[in-house]
Amino acid sequence: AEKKSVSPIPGEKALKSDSPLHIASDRMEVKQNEKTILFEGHVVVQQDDLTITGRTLKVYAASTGTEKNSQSSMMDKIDRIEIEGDVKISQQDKVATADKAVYYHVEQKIVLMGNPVVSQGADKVQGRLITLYIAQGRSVVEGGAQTPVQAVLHPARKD
Amino acid sequence: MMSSRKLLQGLVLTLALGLTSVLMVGIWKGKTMKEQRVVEESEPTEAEMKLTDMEYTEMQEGNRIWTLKASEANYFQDEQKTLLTSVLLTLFLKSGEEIYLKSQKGILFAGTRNIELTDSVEATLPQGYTLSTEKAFYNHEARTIQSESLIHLTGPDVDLQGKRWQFHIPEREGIIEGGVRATVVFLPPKSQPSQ
Repeated sequence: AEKKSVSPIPGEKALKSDSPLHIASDRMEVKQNEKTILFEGHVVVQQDDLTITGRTLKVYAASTGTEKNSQSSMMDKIDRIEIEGDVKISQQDKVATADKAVYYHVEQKIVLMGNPVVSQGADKVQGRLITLYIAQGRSVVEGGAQTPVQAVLHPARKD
Repeated sequence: MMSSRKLLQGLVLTLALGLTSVLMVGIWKGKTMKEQRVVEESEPTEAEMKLTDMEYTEMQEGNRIWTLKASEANYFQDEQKTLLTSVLLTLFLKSGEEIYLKSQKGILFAGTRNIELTDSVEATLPQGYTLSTEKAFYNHEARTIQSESLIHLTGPDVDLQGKRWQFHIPEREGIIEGGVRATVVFLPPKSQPSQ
């Protein structure tokens, strides 16, 4: 599969800052035994200038074995967050869309899958899978047989 | 001709006056009966039994299911219910965790052992979460707690509001519905407890 590194895309500063995340939805379900929190229906997530929308957002907490009834909360040990259904991530003039986005908290990376498209102004890149490495501010677009990497980039004009 | 018209007008006027007075009497009677009924309802019959500093524990197969404490309990035989004041309900989970539900007022329904809590209800949930609402209902058979009034949940890392809440005790599953608004703070990965 073809790989291409591109300029940082939405979410690069995302979820890195300690700012709180504001989540709105129609419904929320906490399953302590499964260590999941599901936000469902018109999900909107906002943090600083980042906005993520989708149909569902599910937080998976990591299980650390001995925590049967430990006092630390689920949010202390996040493994990943999955956002599904018409996912859109926008930050200033950068926009990413996909069927699904997964944020891996420990690895500090976001993976976009299902027709991922990232655009900044007129520039646009798409492929089979787009991975954003938050800490390094680096993104990798992977293509596949059916969905080769496609990029439309407008080099800056020299005045 | 003129006199028959006057006669007719007089007749219509008397009829109208008659109708109005019947109407007025009807409304007046209805009002006084309602007041009487309200008076009857607000003055419950005298409680069969009155307890202070009541404590009751529900057991099943040797396990504590819940403990109910109240500063005052008034038992009404006819209605098979006990009115409670300053209530503390402790629910014991299989995991060893406990849920505390506090409120100013409550009702213990004798037959079903359901418990209704009203007036500043506060639930203390495992892992440091606190939920406040105006009314909550514990369904003993279904082992659920639910609230149909605005709820506010706070915890070490979350502040959340919604319109309805349900908690399924054995499954340790909570559902909040209706305009959910949450503010969440994630611990940065470095400071997370080891995985």
